[in-house]
Amino acid sequence: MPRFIHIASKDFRTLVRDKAAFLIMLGMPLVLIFILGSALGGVGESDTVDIPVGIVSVDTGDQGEQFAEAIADVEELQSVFNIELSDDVDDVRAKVERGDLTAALVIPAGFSDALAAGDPVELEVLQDPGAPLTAGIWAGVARAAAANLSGGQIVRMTVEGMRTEADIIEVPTGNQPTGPADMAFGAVKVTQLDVEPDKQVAMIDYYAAGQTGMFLLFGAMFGAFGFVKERREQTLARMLATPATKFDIVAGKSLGIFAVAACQFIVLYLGTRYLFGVDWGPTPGGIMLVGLAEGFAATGLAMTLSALGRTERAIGGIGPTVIMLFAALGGSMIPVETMPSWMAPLQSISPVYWAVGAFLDLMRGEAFSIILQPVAVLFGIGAVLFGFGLWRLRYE
Amino acid sequence: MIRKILSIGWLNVQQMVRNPAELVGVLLLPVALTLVFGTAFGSGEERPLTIPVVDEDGTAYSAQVLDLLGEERSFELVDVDRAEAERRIRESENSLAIIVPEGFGEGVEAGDAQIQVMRDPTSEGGFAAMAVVEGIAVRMSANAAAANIPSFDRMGREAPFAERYGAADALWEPEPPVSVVGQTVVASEVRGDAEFASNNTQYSTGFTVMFIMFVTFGGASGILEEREQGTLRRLLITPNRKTVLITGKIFGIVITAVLQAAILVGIGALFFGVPWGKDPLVVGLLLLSYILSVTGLAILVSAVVRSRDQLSGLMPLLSVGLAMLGGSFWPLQIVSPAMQTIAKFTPTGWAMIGLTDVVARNQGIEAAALPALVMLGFAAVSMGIGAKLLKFE
Repeated sequence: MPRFIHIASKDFRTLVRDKAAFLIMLGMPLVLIFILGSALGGVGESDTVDIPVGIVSVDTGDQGEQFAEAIADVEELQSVFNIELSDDVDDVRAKVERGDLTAALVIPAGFSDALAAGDPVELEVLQDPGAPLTAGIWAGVARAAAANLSGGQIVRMTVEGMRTEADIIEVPTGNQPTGPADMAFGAVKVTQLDVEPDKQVAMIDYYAAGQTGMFLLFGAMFGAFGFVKERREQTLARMLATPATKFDIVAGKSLGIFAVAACQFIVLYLGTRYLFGVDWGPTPGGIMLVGLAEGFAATGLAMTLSALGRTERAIGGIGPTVIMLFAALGGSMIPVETMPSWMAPLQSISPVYWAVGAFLDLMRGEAFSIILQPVAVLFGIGAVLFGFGLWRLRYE
Repeated sequence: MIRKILSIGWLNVQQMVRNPAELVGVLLLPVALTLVFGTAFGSGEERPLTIPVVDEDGTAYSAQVLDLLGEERSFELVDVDRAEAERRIRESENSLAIIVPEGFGEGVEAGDAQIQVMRDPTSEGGFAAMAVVEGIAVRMSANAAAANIPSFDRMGREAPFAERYGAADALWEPEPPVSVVGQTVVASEVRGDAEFASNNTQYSTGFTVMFIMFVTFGGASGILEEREQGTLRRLLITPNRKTVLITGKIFGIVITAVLQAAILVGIGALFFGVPWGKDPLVVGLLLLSYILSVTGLAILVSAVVRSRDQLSGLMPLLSVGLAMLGGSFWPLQIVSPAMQTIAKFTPTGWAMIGLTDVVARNQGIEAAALPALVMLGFAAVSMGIGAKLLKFE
């Protein structure tokens, strides 16, 4: 058996022997993926959110209350919002301040009178600064409702404008709307077209891909720890005294790290697939290839970390920094589509970005050929990191 | 005794400062991530929603639809054809596409026009945009309704539809008859009238909460390193009691975390205008309670694991996992009620609840008291158990 394989298998066995560490490394990412998948599974789906909002009417006439009730009765809104009707603006304002209500629409005093007189009306949406995202959605709802009122007002103004002119010109009778109050505007409708989307990636699938991409790199950190530990304990130096060449040592260590990464990947893949029903798409071979390519990049990263960090403590500082940056940029935490385009050059140096992107493409059912480029890039990143590590590596 | 505790703690800080790689982890990572994500997601307006639009009609009416859409500052329109729009939605590239089909202009006059919307059913981004499209449809419908009321000029001629439509449409500007203004309410002050409040506070508090946990775990792993190297055992030979030693170690971790917190708060306040400084005492109370609670967690975890390898495996998992559960990455309002309840079992969750109340909502001590108490309780329990279980050799 070549020496480097011997070294690799020894490294692998050392790690497996620490059962707790091994379990943590393999099993805990599964737990995290499960939590994230089930936690975020329902984001944006109406049956899982219930945003508390309010409508306050301090109007003395009856239009304000009618308007409030008309909004509160819309079924689509009820499924997303928990709408509280009130006539106490101070109370509601205090609730928004405390964050008990995310936002509240305020219908001002004199609302009915202003509508009747055709005067401009200003509605106000109080927004909780602690929840800008959801408060903004309610503000949008309020604006759509206000547009309806405005429409009624404009039709009324037109009719009234015509009446004043009617003093001079005779207007043909009939055809006149009876009043703007419950006018429905149907000339322009919004219709939804059904788009049969490509196979969608569910939240749990997304996080399975994202977290797998991240944790493979954390595996590399372990590899670097092992290397530095042996250097500190001088076992590396002793190995150099044996007939084993530097090549044997480096190749053996790297192979050991790669084997661990591959194992980790296979456990994550099988675990997410069979325990959580994650759908990795129709091309398991492609998924494997991407996983192995990232494992290679992780091995290169381990070499670079071992070269850069003199002590385990140092690697404990640099390692998570680099990995978390890679992971954050690569879409492990937040989908890359939501990131601005100027981040693209930063993303392209992250192995996580290429791996997660390729995983997601395959999950969506894309053809095998789509991953060739990411896989090549991953091997390239791995080779660069490996080369750098080799160049700067100290053995004692 | 206090002096001994202080000097052990100070030693820890010195060890960290002397180790450039560790400084990188404590300083560079949080600064880099906060800056990158702060700039990327900072304020809602800087990241417009890209909406593919298709104009198959080419009339003044279809142009109006696009004009009105273009007025939305949060939208960025791209002109495409129908096939491209469909592809973008199918491939989840954009969450919403808007199509003005051929015959739209005639439809407006005949009272039968359609704006077509293609929506990615899995995307959550479309809800707010749909409200805008509906608003445009209402405006145009109302104009059409007004234009359908026959009117005659002084000569007794019936004005053409387009002219009457234009007259009605003019009434929407500069402000429609019924308009909406947004107001962000902050306790004891009114802050501007921005339609959307900024997201910076969420990111700044979230990252601060997450990285503090990173640092405390890093500190705890320093204790394990000393145990592996046998220096902890040597400390036991000195005339110090174990409690003094442990308190000193904890103190060291807390100082590092406080430094870290100060840096993160500083970045948030200086670069992103997050109102951290409105109530420094209460913010300090919350951050310190949080630091103590995660230090306790770090001590507890390092007492339970056997090797530093195990801790290093657990660390990213615990810190990223707890940060996500606690609402560091996204606001808790958007997760399900069950997950909101789970957040209340994490120190990160309580820190986010307290900090959001105090920093974003400018509430005083009354909002911070409960979160601080819960975190201090958590700190006491976890430190107590952790210190008892921690083995020195």
